[in-house]
Amino acid sequence: MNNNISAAGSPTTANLYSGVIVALLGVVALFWLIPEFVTGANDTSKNLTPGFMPRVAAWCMILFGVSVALAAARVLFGKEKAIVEESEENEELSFGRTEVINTLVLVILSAIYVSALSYLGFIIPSTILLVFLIYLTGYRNKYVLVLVAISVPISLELLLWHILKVPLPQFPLINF
Amino acid sequence: MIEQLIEGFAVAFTFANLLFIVIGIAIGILFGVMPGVGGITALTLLIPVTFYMAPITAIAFLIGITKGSTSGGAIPAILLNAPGSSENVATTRDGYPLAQQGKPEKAMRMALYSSVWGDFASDVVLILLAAPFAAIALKFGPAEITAVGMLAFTLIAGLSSDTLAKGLLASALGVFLSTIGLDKAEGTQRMTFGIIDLYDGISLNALAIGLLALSAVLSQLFDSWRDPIAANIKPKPYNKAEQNITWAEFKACIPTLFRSAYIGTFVGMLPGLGVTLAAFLGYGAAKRRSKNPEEFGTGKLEGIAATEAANSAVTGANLIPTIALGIPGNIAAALLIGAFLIHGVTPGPFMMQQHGALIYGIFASMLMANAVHLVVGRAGIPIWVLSLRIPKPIILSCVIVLCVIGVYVPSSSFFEIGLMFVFAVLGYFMRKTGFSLVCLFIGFLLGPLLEHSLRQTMILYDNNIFVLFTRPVALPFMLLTLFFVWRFGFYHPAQKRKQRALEADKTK
Repeated sequence: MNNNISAAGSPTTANLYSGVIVALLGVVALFWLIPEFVTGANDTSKNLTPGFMPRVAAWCMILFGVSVALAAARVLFGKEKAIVEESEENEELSFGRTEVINTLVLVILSAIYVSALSYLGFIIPSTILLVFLIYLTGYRNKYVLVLVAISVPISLELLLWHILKVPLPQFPLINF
Repeated sequence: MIEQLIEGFAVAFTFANLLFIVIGIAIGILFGVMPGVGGITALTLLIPVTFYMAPITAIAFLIGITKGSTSGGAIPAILLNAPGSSENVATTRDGYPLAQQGKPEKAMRMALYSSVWGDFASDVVLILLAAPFAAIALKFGPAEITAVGMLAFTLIAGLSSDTLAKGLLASALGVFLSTIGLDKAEGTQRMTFGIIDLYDGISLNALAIGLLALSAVLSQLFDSWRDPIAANIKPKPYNKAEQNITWAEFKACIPTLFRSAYIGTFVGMLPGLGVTLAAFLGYGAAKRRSKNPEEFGTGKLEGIAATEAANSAVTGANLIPTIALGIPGNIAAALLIGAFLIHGVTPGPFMMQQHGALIYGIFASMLMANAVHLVVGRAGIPIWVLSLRIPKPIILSCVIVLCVIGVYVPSSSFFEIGLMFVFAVLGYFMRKTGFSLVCLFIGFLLGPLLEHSLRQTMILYDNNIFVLFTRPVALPFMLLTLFFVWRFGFYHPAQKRKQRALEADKTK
């Protein structure tokens, strides 16, 4: 439960960026998303249009986003002392270079995995993913690693299809 | 009430129901045992499985998971000094020292008995209070529901986050996400961008699994990636002798058990206070009342009893606002609301009227689950200990595959799998920056209820929002909302800054 104050990657810096981003998202929603993509949002003949609640939520996002960003800016400019923040999830609070790399790895891996699922079915991408993740996170017993990586997806596929009759994505050439 | 409860037992006492309670508790304990995985992951992953069950069996199964995971989380806290989740952090204070003295099973038994007692006491309060609370809530109109909703958001945001604005920001984002999909009142499209998968709104399943389960597992995996040794800590073997709890030892814990059950139940009744707080309050109260407070932290059974009875007592009481108002007290109750909705039951004041038999069946299942918990938990201690020997990288990696299945099975949609990963990224960011996942999830879940009641209020009272301050029942809730805005938004931060300045002066 780190609670550093104003270093790069600290909760305060992250608060500033996230406050600005969510407030901007609120502005985009208010002036573009809701008028363009909510049917009937601009109907002036009605008292309450379908755009009413999205607008309320967007205004709240702007209001709270600005207030989070302003509070963070005051701390960063030394006008106010930071509040010690603790994670409700018992995690180290920090969003620096490591976490940005983690996020990028996550985005790239998940994009590859989801695409692979649609082209190669469930078993092959899941086996590769398991080998990759288990090895990367420090487990080095090759036999157990391969056994788990192969048996878990196959048994899940068999269980779901043959017992519960629920189909998982199939490889075009292999059907169990 | 007694008659309805007996009828509830008649409905709930079936082989299928009992079987799924046993399975639910065993799964809950197993997931609870694995540090970093936890009961919330189990709950989110297994809600889709309940699509194929009868409503009463489904809810009983999920409640079994919730009950099991709380006591399961105590096992790694005792054996490894690594609590399964934050609610078991206080258990390490006496559990781990007792294990180091060669009595880990004694500590685990005490944790289990206390957990079951806390659950039972809380369930009794729930059964006694749910119906009267729901009867009062039936008198609420849209203005009152709106006021209660606003109070719940403020309370949850204030208590789940260190700064109120961050909690409210997460809630607002959750409410905004809940507006995507077809408008319930007019049937028109809102921000669906022509994507058919979004017509029914953002999938609750994809959001819950991505935000709560997958992000937690990924965060753990990244930690293991950076520090592989920490992921492979295993429990020490221990001597089986001297593991029994004597009657004298148990008797000494009885006042603590009652006190902690009362504290946990009270905390559980109020939305947002959380299980962890209950555990620490229970521990603090036991230490203050003890004749030998200096013994706490050295392996005292009362310390374990205090935390485990308090954190488990939150479970049942949390369902009081859930059933009476449709407002969840914490993330587990929010997930149960999701499960209720999936099975065609809308939590709220009308729930007792419309689904009385089901609710009393669930109450009966909860009482049955306590007995099952005691048996399964006690008999399975060697197995739960054994499961800690499975390497963490294997468990965490397999949970990712289970997350994918959990989303794909009910929807058969690759879009939803993608959406789950998007929410996992968002969840990971929020975890690392101190934004409350609970607030976003509850915002998403309560958004439609708030929208419905707010729109009705605006229509009924000619767009006069100030009616929230003029209606006699809504007024106290609004005043409380303003009070909590002041307390969490201005008073607490000022106090924390003062404290920080004092600490800085002392260190100079």
